[in-house]
Amino acid sequence: VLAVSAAAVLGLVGFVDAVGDFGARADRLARLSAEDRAYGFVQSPELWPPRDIVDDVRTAIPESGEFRVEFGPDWRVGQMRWTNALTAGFLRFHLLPRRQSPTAEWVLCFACDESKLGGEFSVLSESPDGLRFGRIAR
Amino acid sequence: VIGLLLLNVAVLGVGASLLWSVRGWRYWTDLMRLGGLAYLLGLSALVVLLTTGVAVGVPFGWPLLIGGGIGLSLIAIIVGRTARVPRPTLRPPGWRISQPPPLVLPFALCIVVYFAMLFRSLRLTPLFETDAWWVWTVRAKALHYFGDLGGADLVGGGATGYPSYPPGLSLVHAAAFEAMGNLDTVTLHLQHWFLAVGFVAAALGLLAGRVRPAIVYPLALLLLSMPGFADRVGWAMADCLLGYLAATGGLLLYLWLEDRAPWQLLASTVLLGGAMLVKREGTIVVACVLVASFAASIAQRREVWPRLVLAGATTLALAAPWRTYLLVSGVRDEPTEGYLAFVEHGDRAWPSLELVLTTFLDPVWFGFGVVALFAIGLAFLCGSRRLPVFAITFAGASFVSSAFVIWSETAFEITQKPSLNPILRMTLVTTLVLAPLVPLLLEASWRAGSHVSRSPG
Repeated sequence: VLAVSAAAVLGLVGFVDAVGDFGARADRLARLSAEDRAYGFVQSPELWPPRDIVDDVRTAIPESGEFRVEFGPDWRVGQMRWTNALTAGFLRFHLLPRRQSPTAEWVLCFACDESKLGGEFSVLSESPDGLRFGRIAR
Repeated sequence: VIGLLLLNVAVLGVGASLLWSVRGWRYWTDLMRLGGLAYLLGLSALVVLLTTGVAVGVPFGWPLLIGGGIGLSLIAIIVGRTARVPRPTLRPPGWRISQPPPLVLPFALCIVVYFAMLFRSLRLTPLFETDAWWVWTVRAKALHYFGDLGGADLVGGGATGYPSYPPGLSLVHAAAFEAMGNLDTVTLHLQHWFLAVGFVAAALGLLAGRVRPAIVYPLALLLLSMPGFADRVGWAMADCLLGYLAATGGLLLYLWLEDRAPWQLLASTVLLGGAMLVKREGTIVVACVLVASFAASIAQRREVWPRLVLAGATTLALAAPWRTYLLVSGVRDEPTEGYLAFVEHGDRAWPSLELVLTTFLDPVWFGFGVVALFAIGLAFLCGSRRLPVFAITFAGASFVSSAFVIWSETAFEITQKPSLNPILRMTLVTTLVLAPLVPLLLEASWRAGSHVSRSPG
């Protein structure tokens, strides 16, 4: 009886909290646009490259195309342990079926050294914080 | 949403066929009680089948999905007819929907409201889970676009490839994409709502008639309301699904020790086989369930153990195609510093175990760990043996194996921080497996107490 009573009280208290959290989360998410939700923008904005740049990337690179992601040493240093890996993972996910390749001519350059990209880099789109998207002319 | 609903009804249909072929039922009303179990059984069987298909190179898509579902159902129906399983009739004479006791009704209503609110929240949730980008859903997208897991750059390596992760959840996500007709990563979260509903229905159905509702429903509400579960129930990650399959398989395995009904062992084998194909930890969790079964049946070992060995071997066989695929692909599946890293890092042993134990009793589980340990102790005190031995052995094996994983994987820091250590998600699986055992433990103690209080002198 003691265990069931304790479980019942804790369950009811937890229920109120959980349902309140679900409702608050739903209200918050409802205020986002459908595009924001589809883009996955909900927390940790440092992981999400600016959406207008990524939209340009999706428009420019054909679905059968390849791209690469290059990070410079000064890109958001110390913000978060896995920032670069998470950002690259997000782009790999979001841009599929476009595949990543270390030799791709389409490049997302996060404050990278453009002289090491292996050709003349034509910038098609860029953000104020140093992300540049473009194509290597070989 | 309608596509997802149809997909999950189809999964229920496959599972119902399988359950009918091994168990049968006299009345369709029995299926109402066992619907959750049928759903998880169908899901697990499809995960096993689709994983085998992908591992041997069959392209994923509608033909495999529909062909696999229809094939499994047809085989089940043929087996059932051959075994002369009787056709069910609608309902027993005088059957009516039973009214829950007044004390239980508020808890049942709370569970309904919980799932309604969860549905609303998940319907709007973006795909923010980093593991979903890195592993689970990116593979589902690859299955959708290419018909396979994506080749070398998605499963074959790289810093974020996690090539050895089993594909069970990715296949579920890919099936959801096909059913929705697009790659809607927001609505995808509702698939996890169906999984949670299926699990709760399976547990309530299996415990109905064995445990009084006054015990089951408050504990079910406690489980659902724990912040550690409520925060993660809709995540597009594999931990909850692993917990659902392992918990239902474990519960059935325990019930088989009690009842010895062959269908319970068969269904448990399929569920545990599916669990092994959902996450790498699935192998460890299934091993813990089997160890608990061996320990709980030590007095009947001559009769029970050979069948448990056979069930364990069959479970391994269900996961064999995936393991073979990894072997052939040359994918390594070991800790960062190798299998023997724990030898060099002996200083991590105690902190790892301490982290596991403190996390199990952490407030994030809202006292569930304390209630579970109390229920095990009480059942022992009241004279039960098999059930508390099963539960405490599973818990102990799970604690030790979780600690060993943290000890030997030096990339994990000794902390509960989710980005640095998966201990919260590991404990979630342990908690889910223990969850349906706790009402059984309390019921056993309740009956023992009632018996004592009614005994003269």
